[in-house]
Amino acid sequence: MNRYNRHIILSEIGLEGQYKLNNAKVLVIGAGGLGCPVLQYLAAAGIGTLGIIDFDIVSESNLQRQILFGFSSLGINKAIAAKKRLEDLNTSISIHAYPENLNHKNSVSLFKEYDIIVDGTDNLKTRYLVSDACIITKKPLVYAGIYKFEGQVSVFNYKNGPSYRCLFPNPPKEEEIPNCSEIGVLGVLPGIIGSLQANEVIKIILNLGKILSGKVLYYNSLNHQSNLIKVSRSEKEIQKVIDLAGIFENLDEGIRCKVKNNNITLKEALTKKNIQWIDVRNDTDQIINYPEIIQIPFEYLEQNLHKIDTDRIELYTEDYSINYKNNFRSRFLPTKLAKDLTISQLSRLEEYKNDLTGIIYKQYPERIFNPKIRASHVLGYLKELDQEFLSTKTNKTDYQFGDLIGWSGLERNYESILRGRKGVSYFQVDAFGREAGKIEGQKNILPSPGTDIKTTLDLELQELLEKELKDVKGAGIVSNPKTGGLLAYVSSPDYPPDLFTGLISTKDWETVITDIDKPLLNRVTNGLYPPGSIYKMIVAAELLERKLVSESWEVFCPGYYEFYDRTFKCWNENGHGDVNLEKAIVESCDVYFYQAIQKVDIDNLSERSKMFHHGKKTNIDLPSEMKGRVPTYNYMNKKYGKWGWSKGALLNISIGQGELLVTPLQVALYTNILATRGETFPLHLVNKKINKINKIHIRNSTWKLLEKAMRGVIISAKGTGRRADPKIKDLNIFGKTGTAENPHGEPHAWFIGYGLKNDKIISIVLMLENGGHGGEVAAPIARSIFKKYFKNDYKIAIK
Amino acid sequence: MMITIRYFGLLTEVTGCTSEKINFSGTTIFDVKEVLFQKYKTLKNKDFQVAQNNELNTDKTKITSTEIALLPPFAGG
Repeated sequence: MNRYNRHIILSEIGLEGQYKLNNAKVLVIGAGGLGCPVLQYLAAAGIGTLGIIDFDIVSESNLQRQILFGFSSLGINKAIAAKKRLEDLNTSISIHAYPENLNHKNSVSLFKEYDIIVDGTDNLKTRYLVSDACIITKKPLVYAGIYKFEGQVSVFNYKNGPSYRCLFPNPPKEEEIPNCSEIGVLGVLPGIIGSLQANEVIKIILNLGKILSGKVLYYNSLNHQSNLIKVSRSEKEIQKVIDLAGIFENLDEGIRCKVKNNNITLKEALTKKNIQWIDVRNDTDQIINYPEIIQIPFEYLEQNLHKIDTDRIELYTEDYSINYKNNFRSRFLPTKLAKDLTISQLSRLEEYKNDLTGIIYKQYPERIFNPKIRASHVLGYLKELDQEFLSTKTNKTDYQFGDLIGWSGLERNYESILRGRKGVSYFQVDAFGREAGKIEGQKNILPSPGTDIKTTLDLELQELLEKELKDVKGAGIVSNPKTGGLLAYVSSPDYPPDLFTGLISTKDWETVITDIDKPLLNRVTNGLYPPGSIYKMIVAAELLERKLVSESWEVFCPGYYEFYDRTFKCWNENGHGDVNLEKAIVESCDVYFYQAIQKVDIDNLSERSKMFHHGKKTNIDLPSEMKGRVPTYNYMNKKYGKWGWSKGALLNISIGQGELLVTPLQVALYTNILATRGETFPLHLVNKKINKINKIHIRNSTWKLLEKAMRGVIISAKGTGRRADPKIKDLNIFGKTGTAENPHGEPHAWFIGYGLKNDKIISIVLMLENGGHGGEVAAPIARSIFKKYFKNDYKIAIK
Repeated sequence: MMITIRYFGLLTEVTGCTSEKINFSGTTIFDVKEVLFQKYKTLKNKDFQVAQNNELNTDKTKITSTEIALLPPFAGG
């Protein structure tokens, strides 16, 4: 209870009050501008059970005011992201995230689980829904709304007080009241107003002071005018809502719209044709004696499908009418109503062909996947093309709306090659547009299939790497430095490769996009990470090439380095003793680099980094890639102001921290450069004629030292990468580990390296997000890949 | 009689000011609204409540104060 000490020593709260807070259950609707501060204070205060409902995802423009979220929450569902943040804030409370839309169906049962409801929504439609559901469930509602620089706050349904409808009885006809996303809002305003809400919640639980019930507070942050306006309870308005209680869950999303009475008697229902009635209830109290109705309890439905008379199953029309609306493009183009028809649906379509004028079915291609590997981030997925895609195509005749095209990965990059050419068939049609015969003298143009492409991936290495990275977050790349071809490529977690073929269910889609581990993010090309110590070879090259230090220059490492008033730690607190450049790489001594970097000019280092392809795209044959960041003098001035940064920033850069950011793919190219003294090829996934990368002008003596040091990392007694060596005869491994500190928890674990046996060579890059120490977690994965590759003599290829 | 009308939230977008004095000769809230609807055509489409003496009024309420507030709901959150 020490956490709540400042509450407990308040005589108005005390231990008893704190227990009340710990036992309270509060549901917050919307984790936006208002929801965030409310949730933050309620979690901090120790509200025992917090519910958060929000269907939306965090976007960048939210960060100006929605203080629970940061860069790492972008794209994640707000309820889930808020829960994650709050669980860190207070581990002793339980938090329930509902990543869904609040509606008439779920609101009443949800509200019943909580003591107090907080309204932090951003539209009037939901506000009336929340208010009405609170009236029905008799829950106090802590309400607030904001507009630009103003806010209004009130507590409704509190001890027979008025409710929102007593203040504003009728929802506006249209959504004429704009919300923040349309009109803008001062970022701090929801902070002020949300804090007032949190305050009311706590007062209600503790029965403290005067609750803001029966009054609405208007507050203007520009002139600090606040008005308390008295609101009286209107029994008439409240009764109107209570009258709806019985059918509340059936109300559709229109605001308190009139509901048609759809009740019909059983006898009437049974007269309807082409419907099979199944009683799926479990309770057998009410047995219905109609031969037309068969009884299959719901949980046994699947096993009893044969009992259902398929001739009587109706195509479920509602879905198709929605699809029709969504997919309609033009009167002259077919509109897709349904995909993935079952055989029985198809045969029914055939049967009723003459009645179903204008409805046709067609075959579409679908991909088949190798069951052993996923490679989803490499292969990409197919999706229906859109207007934007079409507008970029010069040869429009090959594409039509509704066509499936490669949407990411190789599917996108090689779309034009993989794609076949459309053929043309000429035929006569009847008045309904159905095929009625051939046209004499018109020759059909036959379609031609697309060209196959062969990837550079190695099936077995891909399978192994996927297995090794299955349960972690991270990236792995295996490549051949002599060709630039990628042998294995994994971004983990990924998505099932067949997720996007055929119809994707809303549930599957939501699972993928709301997953906090971001399976759709291609970490290899688009993940940005600090490189940590794997960057040290670049610093070493800069030191030697400009003769800033000699190979024998030594530094004493006591385990830390004092730089003006700051202490920079070496990863090894016990120190490394006397250290020269080679030892500094082998044992990854940070203190050596803290001292040596002071001789380095930041712009020269930036140029050197670019030489090793840092801060540049690799131009791999995939549709999207980040270029990373290499700080320059100008960059630092721009970011921190001319006097806002010092050499201290350089000390961080020297060990691959601070402003440096790389993608795992860039690091793969960097590793291949190290493996070949710069004589490598651009990275690629599909074989084609390419030229070597630009020559790198570095002296042989410098390459030699880097190689000797990277060999030492693997074989020296104190080398940090010893676990990467599978110890196979004639196989020499070279490598470097990295342990990159970052603000998201445990450090990222890196291993880069290459193995040489006779004339065979492969390079490996591994990055495990928040994995811990590179030498401990990443190096052993590299070992199993080296082992597989150099023990086997097998030949490649996927596709 | 001069009375002050205060506008909140999006009503200020309609009127272009947060408060103003108007010359008023009627007797009820209804009359005030009529004058304002004359002046601001689009105000009629907006949803708001009228208060005087920090209390909500209906159209029939007699004007007893020299300050009237027009209060809309705020949708944002």
